[in-house]
Amino acid sequence: MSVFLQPLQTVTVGSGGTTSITFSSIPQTYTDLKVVMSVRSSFATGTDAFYMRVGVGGSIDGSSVYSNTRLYGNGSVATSDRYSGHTETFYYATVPAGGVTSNTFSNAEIYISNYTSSNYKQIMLDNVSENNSASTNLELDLIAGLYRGTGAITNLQFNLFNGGNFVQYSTFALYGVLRQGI
Amino acid sequence: MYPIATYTNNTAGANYINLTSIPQGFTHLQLRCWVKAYTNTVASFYIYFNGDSTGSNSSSHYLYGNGSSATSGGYTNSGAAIGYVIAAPAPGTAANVYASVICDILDYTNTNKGKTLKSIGGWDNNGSGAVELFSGAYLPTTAISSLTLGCDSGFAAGTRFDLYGITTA
Repeated sequence: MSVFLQPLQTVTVGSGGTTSITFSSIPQTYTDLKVVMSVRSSFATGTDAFYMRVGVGGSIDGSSVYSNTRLYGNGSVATSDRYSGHTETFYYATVPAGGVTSNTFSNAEIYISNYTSSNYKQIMLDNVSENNSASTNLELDLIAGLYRGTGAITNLQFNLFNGGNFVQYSTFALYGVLRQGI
Repeated sequence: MYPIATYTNNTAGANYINLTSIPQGFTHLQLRCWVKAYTNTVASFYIYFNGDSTGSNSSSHYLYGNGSSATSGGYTNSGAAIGYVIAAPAPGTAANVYASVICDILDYTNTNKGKTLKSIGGWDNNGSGAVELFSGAYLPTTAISSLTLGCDSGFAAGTRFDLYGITTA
């Protein structure tokens, strides 16, 4: 078993889908956390977008302590924007929905450095949402997200913006990353 | 994270490198690439899944920066390849300059979903270079058992590919 990248929790969405995924009771013994996601939304048209909230002490924090800076492309143009004072981070990370080629899921990685430290948490996302179209209903995202909380992260929660469900076969995998010497 | 295969190209100008018989017991695949083109022009490095060159089976898009501007573009029915992962540096760059690229293929054995590749890569040559986030969709739901790695001008000697398997339990 690798101790560099230790699988901690995995969720595979079952039949009927689900509106929300939460990793709870995250061990506090690793250096960093990594999440790998392959998801699609049941939202009927176009694309959807997911967002993430973190929990401290077992409770999800939905207050306005999140922000993010984004570089993204849509197959036509490359743009950068920023959102501050939000109640979630990764605003606006696109995932495939009803307007996207069937069976196409996103491919995303989230990296949370020093998740147990007493500093604010810097959270990186790279995310691609494909579609067999030149520049419609697709996106590539690089997002730096900030959680302005100083407690150790114990939970991660994922939701969708447009009211869809994460569809069956969507997967979420949480890993602990251990630095040398521990 | 487990090493599955490694391949170092010793044939200058090799057009294709095949990683076959990929074990089906992992959850995700990660391909780490050290790539240089063979001829004197920057050339595209691309990937086929399962040796499938059916044009209508793939699409791809990119977010690209070259030191002066950022662009995004893409290809529908991508033709021969799952996608053009990066423009590999050419021999006209410094002798020791190779592109560094990490490709992730999630749920590669799941026969209920198409396969989406994500790669992040780039190279710098002390005055030129490129950095790119790339996505490629392989639309069939078939499990991935082989990767064919190609370069428009062939790969330079020293190009290396390392394939890893990632588990979730």
